[in-house]
Amino acid sequence: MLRYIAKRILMMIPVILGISLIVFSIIELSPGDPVSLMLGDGASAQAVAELREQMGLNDNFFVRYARYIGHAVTGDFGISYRNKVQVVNEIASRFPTTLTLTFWGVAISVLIGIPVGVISAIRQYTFIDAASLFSALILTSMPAFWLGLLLILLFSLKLGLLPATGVATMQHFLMPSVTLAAASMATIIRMTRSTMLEVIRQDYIRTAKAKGASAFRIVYKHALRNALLPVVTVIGLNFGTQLGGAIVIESVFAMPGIGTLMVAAVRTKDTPIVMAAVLFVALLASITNLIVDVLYAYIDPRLKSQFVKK
Amino acid sequence: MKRFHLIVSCFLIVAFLLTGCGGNKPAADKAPGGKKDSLNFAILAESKELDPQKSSDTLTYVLLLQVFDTLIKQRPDGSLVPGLAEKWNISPDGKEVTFTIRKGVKFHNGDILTTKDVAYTLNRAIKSAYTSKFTSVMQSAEAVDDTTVKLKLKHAYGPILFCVANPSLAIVSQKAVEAAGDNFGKNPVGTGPYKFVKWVSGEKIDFTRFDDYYRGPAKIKDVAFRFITDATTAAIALEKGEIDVLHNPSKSDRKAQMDNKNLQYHEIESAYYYHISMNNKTGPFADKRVRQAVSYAIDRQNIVLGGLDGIGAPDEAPMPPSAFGYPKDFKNNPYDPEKAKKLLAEAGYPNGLTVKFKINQAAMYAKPAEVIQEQLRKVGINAELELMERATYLEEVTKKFNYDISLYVITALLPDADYVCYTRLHSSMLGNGNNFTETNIPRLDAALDKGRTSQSKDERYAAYREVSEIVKEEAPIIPVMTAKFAIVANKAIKGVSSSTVDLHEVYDYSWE
Repeated sequence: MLRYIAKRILMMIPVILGISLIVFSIIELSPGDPVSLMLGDGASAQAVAELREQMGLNDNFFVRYARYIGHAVTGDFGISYRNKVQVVNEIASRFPTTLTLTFWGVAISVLIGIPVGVISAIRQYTFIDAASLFSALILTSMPAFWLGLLLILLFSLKLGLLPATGVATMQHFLMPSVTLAAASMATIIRMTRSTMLEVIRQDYIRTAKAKGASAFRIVYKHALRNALLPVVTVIGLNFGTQLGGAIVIESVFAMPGIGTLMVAAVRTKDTPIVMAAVLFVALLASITNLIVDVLYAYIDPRLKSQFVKK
Repeated sequence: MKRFHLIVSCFLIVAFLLTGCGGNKPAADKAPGGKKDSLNFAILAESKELDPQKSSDTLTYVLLLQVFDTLIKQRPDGSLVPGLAEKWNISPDGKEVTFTIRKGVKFHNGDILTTKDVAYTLNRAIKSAYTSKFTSVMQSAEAVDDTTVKLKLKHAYGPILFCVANPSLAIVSQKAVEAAGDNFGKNPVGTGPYKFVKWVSGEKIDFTRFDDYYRGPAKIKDVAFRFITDATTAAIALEKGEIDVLHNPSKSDRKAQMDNKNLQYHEIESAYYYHISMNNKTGPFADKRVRQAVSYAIDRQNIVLGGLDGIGAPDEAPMPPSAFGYPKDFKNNPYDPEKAKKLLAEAGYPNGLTVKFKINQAAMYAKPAEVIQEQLRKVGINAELELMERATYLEEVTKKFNYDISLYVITALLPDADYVCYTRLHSSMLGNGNNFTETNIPRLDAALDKGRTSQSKDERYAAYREVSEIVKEEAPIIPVMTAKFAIVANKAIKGVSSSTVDLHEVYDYSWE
């Protein structure tokens, strides 16, 4: 098992390098000059040329990429073009917001999604089933920025219950997390429902019933554990999507997270920030995927036994 | 079941850890007397570092003005009043400005402002790439004695006082700059009414009152500038009272905000103006008649209506009306589609022509551009609209001149005709996003030079009237309209007003 984890971690290196090359090429080869954007209209040609030279932007693409990677492996992600701050500090200061948001987003979607999916499956074709599937459809089709604004209108403006902007307290995270959870919750409901439906028709469930096990025990002990495997995959994959979804939600709720940082940086062609933010999110997504794979083994002993044999 | 417990406990641990992350409660915002003593000022983007000599955008200027002072102050109505300089004097040849520096002014670190700090700041601005647009005429500055600073210019320059009043030339403490190095912009030390407290990346910047301010302490104690990038969210936050002032709100909320009894809404003609730019050197618009045809083809009033929802005004001269030098009652070519068609036929396009109309994709350009496209179509010019991301637009159009026709704005960062006219129209400003129409008209250059260097107000006004006449006749660019600057605030704040330069000082505000 440990060997497997080590192997997976090693495999992340080429993945991250590949992503870094792709992102670097996209930013650097797309038109637009960060220096002109920094200096604004009316800057003299000389001023632009001087600053470009100072920032080392006149070297060729490969030299710059190699220099970037060279520094990055030592943990030096450079200084933001725009704000002149250490990129690492900037990411570190924004990260807790995004992580908290994503965590609660995933948590809410799981805590609501799985039970609703299970109920939907065991009460197949009833009103509850139809209602949950219908709400799942609504949630998944609603754009996050719109849902976010509707929530703000209702809970902040009309009812005055929750703050609309900022991150000062946990209350500030409630609406953004629910907005973030909405789309993936729908996927989880549908996924749980369909796998549950498959599982409860299996022989061992009939056996369990025949043994006289309680309905609760059958559903949560025997059926759900087997049904969860594909659901966990979806949750893991969703984590990556949610980090992306956070970009929109952070701007709607004015939250200082990685998402708003990335958007501002892309607009101003602030390469060091964009690179670091994307790499960071990529790394996080890779780690989550690894964790999900390891979780499989815990949830499904059959998989674990495969590792043990080796 | 053991594993289930393990997962649940992991979940709870992480949840508690994360919950602990953002636990700081907002401070109480009431003064001992019960009166509100803090203010939340929202801006729609995060500003850059707060180093005057490394800034050149209005958004950062709004913040700089709270922490720093300029030698000469520009008030919201556009007037110039003494700031850190008690008085100033321009030499007869216009090549030297002498400032008498106010005595006993303190920096936030307790140091007294000296003429050395002033000379240091001006020289720092002269060297900085960011501020070259305001300092390119300046040679050097020196501290003559304890009260006098002399600024030498390369040549006489009409708008020099506006340059000195620009927040990019706000006075910094030499000691603090040298101590902080590149970090000064994140730890600014000035003489302004508010001291910098902290910068929470992506969220806000906190300021607190500087009690030793030379004009007397500000009335509101704590001020937070919050970055809210979503305009709708900002509008709701204002309505709910989470923020007290909103800088340049979205136009779609204008009516609701004007009607809201708890809010005050101020707007004024903006210091930027929209103009149609054409490639004067290559393509169909190299022919003067085709450019003139465009100027007869457009109906400014309708572009204001369709493109800006009527929140703006037609502009016929190549500068915003708030700029010094604006020729009053100047009329550009009138809307005359028949004449436009005739001119096109003369130029060899009796059946019309197809051109590339490239613009920045932001709604502020896209909407007016669609109206213009339709107006051009009526005279036989098929303008193929191409929307581009901002960085791409600046590169393709303003630097590589790879376009036929475009719609853009220029902001008079100095409220003077020279700033906008010289930048866009003088042949020496080719390239680098300035004169991207490649306009090169010797008599226009001559008029611009005269407006730039003359010492006489009347002569300068005459020069800019001539510039406008030449622009009307040669049509290198076509002025279209100005939009509006707006500020919306809680009704209980006194002292909020619109500003021709879009700059606001919280120092002017107080709670009722």
